[in-house]
Amino acid sequence: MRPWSALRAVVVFIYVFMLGPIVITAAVSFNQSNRSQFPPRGFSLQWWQRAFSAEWLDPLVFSLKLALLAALVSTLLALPLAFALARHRFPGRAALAALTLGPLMLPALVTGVGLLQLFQYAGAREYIGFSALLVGHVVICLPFAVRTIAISLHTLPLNVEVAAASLGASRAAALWHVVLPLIKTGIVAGAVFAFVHSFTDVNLSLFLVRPGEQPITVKILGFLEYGFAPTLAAVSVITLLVPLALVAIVERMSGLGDFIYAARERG
Amino acid sequence: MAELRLEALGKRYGATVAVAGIDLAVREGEFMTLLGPSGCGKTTTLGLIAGFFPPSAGSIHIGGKPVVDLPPFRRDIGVVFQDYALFPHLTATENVAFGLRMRKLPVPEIATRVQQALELVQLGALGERRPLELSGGQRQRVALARALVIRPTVLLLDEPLSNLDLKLREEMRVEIAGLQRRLGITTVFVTHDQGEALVMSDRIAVMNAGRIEQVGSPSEIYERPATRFVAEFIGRMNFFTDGARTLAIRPERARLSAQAPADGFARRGRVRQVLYLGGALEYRLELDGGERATVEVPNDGAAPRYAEGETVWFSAGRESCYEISARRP
Repeated sequence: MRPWSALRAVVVFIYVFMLGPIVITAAVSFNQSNRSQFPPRGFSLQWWQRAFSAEWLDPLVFSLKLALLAALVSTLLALPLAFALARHRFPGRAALAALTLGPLMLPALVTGVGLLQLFQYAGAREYIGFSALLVGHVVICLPFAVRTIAISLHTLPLNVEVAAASLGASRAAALWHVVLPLIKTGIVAGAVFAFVHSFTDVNLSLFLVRPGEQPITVKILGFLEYGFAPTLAAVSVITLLVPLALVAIVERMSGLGDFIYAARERG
Repeated sequence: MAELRLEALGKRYGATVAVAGIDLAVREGEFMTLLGPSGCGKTTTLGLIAGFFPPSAGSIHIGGKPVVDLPPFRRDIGVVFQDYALFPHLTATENVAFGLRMRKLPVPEIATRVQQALELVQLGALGERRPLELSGGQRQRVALARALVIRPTVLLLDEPLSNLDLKLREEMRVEIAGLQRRLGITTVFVTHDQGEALVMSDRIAVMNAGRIEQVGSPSEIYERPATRFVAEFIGRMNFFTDGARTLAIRPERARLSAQAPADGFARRGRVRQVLYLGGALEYRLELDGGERATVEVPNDGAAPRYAEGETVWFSAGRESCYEISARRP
């Protein structure tokens, strides 16, 4: 085989396994009967109708709220953290870096169990649910936001800040007029990564839910115990489309693709 | 526009001394060049004047006022950086307007002054372009306009020509020096390029290892170097030790002859190599004592030619021999 046809085969292979499950899931959701057959038999929208009932919409909206808030909070926390870690040498810097980026290495499952115990021992059981989930999600999303912002701080052109200072900009003015606009894509990318990570998390969330306050992923996992119904296929497709749509919108608005794919010099 | 005075200015990083207590007075409207090899402390000195970091010792006065305690954004100093440091997210016009916006000037005045500044550097038509859409020479002009538009008391130029190609570099030398003279702005120019320094400066301060070796006009520096370092760093030089004295003779001031000259400094030798330079011929000699020497003879058609291996006399008039002290005077 020539090198090019080998490469082509690998690409086809990757696409089949990436897109195949999505295509099959989408197709299954249009089955006429209650059985998850592929290719689907007949055509009906009844499973989609059921997917849009409160039973599924409530956890979906819950997930959206949780992910948006987790992305917002972790980005706001990540900004000063990234500045401190990328710019300054201070005692305890290594410890702070390890603490901030640690959850990236730790299985979210472990973080979840730990947080659950913490809330129990601290006598804060009543916060389990949305509040505990938010804390947990911020913890696991923070590394993504800190890393992307720190990377964009490192790629900041040399001297632009001192140039701003020489032109009469105070540190605050230089930050607002020069640094923030230049790391904007990094901040947005960090927020998007955080949103997606929060929205798709199930490992951590499992431990911190309470009835009526559970994200869509946990709800799907719970439903799976009764078998895979076409309703679930429809719900999965919706769950897939929401973050995808958000990323697409943000990408259009901010040139995020350049950051994610490091495609070309920014500026 | 004002006089700039550095007194006992020093900067050290731990045990490393970057600037070892220098004194320098730049007159109002003067074009002063800090010339020296990399690591000699010239860029550090510039950073100290701009206020990008505090000095370890000494003082800086601009127009008679001490500025060491002022942050850079209160010093009214225009800086052109080696990499230009343009703001990539802003257009040329917005880059130039930045300093005026920070000073909260009225919008119509900003617009007028920015347009004037862009025309001053012949970029009037390219205001809407971003730095990435400009050539190296154009970016440099934007950087210059951005530094000048704030009407700074002192203009600092940090090797601004080193990223341009040779031809453009030579054009910009003349253009920047001309602009500086027209505006009469006190300027400190940092370079390691002696050609730039000689062409552009009113005076040159030659720096070495954190110290100033000599301050003088280009002709003083070239023709009466105070130290061996200055003599070696600027142009080329033949050195002869004569007891405790060291004599220095520029290759273009030395003469070649078949017979021993009547007076002046003279040594006999042999032509080791002849290099044809177009406008001149360079003879490399091995003198009888084993010393090496170089003579540059203008290719004017009148000078006799010598072949490799021929015996010749190397000589120079008294007025072309400089006595050099090994250390600073």
